[in-house]
Amino acid sequence: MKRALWLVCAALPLTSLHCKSSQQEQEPSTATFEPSAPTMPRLTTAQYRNAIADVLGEGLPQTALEPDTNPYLFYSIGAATTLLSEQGTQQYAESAAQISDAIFADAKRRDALIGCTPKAVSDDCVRGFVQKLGRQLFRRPLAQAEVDRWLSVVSDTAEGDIYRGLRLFVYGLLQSPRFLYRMDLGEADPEKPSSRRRYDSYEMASRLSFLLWNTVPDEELLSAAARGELLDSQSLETQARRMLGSPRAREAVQSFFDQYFELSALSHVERDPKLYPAYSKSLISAMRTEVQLLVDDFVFRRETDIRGIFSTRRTFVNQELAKLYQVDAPEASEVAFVPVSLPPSGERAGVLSFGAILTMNAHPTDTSPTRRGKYLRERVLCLVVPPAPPNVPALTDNTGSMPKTLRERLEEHRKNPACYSCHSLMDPPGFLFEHFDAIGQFRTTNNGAPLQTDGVVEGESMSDSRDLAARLAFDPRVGSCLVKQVFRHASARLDAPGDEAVLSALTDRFAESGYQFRELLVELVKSEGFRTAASSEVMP
Amino acid sequence: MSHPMQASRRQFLRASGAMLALPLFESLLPRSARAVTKAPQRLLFYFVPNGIHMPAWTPSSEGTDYALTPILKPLDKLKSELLVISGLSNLPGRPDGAGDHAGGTSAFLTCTHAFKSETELKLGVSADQVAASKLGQGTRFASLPLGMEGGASVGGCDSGYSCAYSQNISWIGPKTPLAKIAGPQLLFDLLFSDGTKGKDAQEKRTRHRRSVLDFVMRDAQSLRGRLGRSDRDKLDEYLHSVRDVEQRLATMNGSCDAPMPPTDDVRLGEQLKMMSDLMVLALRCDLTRVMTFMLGNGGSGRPYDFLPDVKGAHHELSHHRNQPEIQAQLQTIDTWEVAQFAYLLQQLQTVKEEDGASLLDHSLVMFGSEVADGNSHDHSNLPILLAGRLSGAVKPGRHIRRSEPIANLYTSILNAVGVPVGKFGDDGTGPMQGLA
Repeated sequence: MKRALWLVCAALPLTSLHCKSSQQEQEPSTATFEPSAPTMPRLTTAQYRNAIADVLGEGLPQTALEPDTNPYLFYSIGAATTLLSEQGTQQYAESAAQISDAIFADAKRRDALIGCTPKAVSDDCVRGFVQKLGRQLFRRPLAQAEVDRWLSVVSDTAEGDIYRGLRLFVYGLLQSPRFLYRMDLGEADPEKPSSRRRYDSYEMASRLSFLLWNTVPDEELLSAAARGELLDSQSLETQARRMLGSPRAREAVQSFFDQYFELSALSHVERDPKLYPAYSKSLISAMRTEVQLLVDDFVFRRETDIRGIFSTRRTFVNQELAKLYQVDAPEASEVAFVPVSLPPSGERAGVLSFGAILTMNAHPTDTSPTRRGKYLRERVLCLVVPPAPPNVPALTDNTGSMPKTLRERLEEHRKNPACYSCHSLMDPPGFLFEHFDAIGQFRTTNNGAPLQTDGVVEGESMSDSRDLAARLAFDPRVGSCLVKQVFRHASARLDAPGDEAVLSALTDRFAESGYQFRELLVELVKSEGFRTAASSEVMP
Repeated sequence: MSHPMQASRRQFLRASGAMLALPLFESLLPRSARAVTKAPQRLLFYFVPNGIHMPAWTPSSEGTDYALTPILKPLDKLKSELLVISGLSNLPGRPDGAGDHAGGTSAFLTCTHAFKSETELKLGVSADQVAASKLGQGTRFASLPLGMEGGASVGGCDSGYSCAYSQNISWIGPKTPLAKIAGPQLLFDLLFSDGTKGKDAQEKRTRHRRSVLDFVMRDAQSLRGRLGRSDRDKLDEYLHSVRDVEQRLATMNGSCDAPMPPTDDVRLGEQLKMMSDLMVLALRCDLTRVMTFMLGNGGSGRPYDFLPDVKGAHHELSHHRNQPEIQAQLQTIDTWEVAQFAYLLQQLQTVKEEDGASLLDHSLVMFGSEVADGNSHDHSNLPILLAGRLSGAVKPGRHIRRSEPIANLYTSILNAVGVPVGKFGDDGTGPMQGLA
């Protein structure tokens, strides 16, 4: 993996065109919003598990499910663009079997769930149960004929045992595509009936719930939908604010940031303990917790400008992290994280200079200015960095007189014009972080040679990552990029040129709110980008 | 969405003409005509990470009289069942820039060049999954993707490649790896979770479940009319799979008594032995006919310090920089891997089927790695070893040399199990000659 630094960029003159411009990468914007076709994501694993716990109860079996994928960072996009494999279908079947068996094997649990004693397949208790569960899991009431059809499943399989019939009803419900897929198709939009659709009340209840709570709608949302609400900004805002006040929103927001920062990458981090004696699995997990606590602090506890996360000196450490950061935290223990203020004169400022992101963007044996720079550009600023040109051969041996520091070697690499165009965008911002090694420890030398951390980033001379942090705290692009990422996460698709008007309006509102993340979510659910869709192309 | 929906295995097979015509809702009839007169063919692809120390692997002569090399020595008693193939390449595995382990692992069974990204997957359908479309029709599991190291398929693992590329060899579609069942405990749970109930109860249960699934499929029909094209495809794909599940429930021959559950002995050798026993059991009981197995993930950094004189992790050692003392350690690891493989083959050989031949005679087991040498990361002259006869389609007991893409070997194997593909992967040119 170290060899990644030793790409030979063979003369590939065409590729040098790829990275010329750093500023003009925005899609041409259109003045008015043009909705895209709706997507049909499958429930993510978390959504499936949350739905089961909310509707059927806690503590039911959790068997393996098809793993989520995260193209363009977000599980929702993976859920909308990948097909379920046959194995995944089989896993849903197995899960449905185990869950329904577990419910009906436990009379107490069963009776609590059903809420009445069924006497005959045709009685009100059975009908009521079918209606109740169907409405909760399918996120809308079942039509009369649908209820009758499911009742026939109960009677066909009961064979003298109503509970058997009900168990198989639950088994079937959990495998219905109406439960597993989010099929929000909308209805003709009274404002523009010919050109677009708006999501109906129940679909909006579901969209709010999956975005803000990562689960199926609760009773209050379903009742609001039954009253025909959730179609206007006012009722959406009321519901959104109610939901954001609940602990479930904290989990959902955590999940968004986890995906946006791609913290899952930390689970694959390996370090050679000889090179990094401070490395341990628990240290890596503490780094992840640190970011989660920061997010919670910025979004829920302090309701402040979220961009501050890129310049903050206030963070949360346990014992191991305190040692890594060389900061005093007497109250911290292995498990207890405490807030600390990093010294104003210290080198560390902002989440990009904290353990998690420094470590995930490094190699097992060395740092990677290229990856750190790429991360800044792509994640924080939403600028595009193309992949390495195809068929670049890798050197197999590092023989001869090698430059000493990594920076010197990368600078050598950039002398090749084919490599220069892209690496000049990624490496200089990455160099600013060179005084942090591959697990985020402060250092002053690299391979025995003194480190240089200065660089010119977008025309501005910076001496190290602190200058960058100071700038990011006020960079409007940090805000607009976050808007774009949340929009992708919420819509389960990439933004399209037709979304530009919505994105820019959201960015303005976000700025007006002082970049409060919760306000962004409220504005998002009210925006027409979240409430409308193009008429989907229907096959003949 | 700005990018098109992925093609699935089903679509791939449809395009290659290999799919049997099974209209969506006609196949709810009981699977009565399942007269199995002949023992079925089985395929097992066995992956080891980080390449092989080739000078101690490749036999010096070809034909039937070749001498086993030090790494192949543990296979001494099985020599007549082996077909060593030298010279095959998998050039689609060459990465863009660094990332040979991700590139090689993802191409191992797909022969497709992976799109370099940590977030966006683009690959192809793997040979085992194409084979499963045929061999997997009557069994409880169409295929079983197995391994010894877990790991989620998100995030980056190798120089800008998604972990999905280096942790999976079975791919159901360009964006969808089949998640591995890692370790004997999970495999045991999967195979035998349902096996504790009596046969009558089992049958009743199966009948009920089938009728519910049948209902779910019919009920969902009304949804299709409202959906756009790609979403309708997605729904159909799901319903097709539900039908497969429903049919699998009807398959009663694939069952056997649960063995002792795995012990919690964490030593790799012990875990691997339990895994091998379960794999043989699953094949013997006809729970599946297609398996993939990853002894480690591509580029695995597993420590091998339980072996004599081996100091350090596998991947690190594989960058041996031509130092003989490191190469010697690699040879020790490789020989150990082959010994574990030999145990599996021996177990396959001891199982006798109804026609008197062994399970191994009806199987083809392929051993290979994502690269040849771990230092130079070659994607040609790969270490490839076949064992078994695949019911007569393969003639073992030889060392042969073939300078062609490994995709051609897969084409031949697929043809031998009854999937009529013309060529396979990015660089396949047609079937490989000389298997029989």
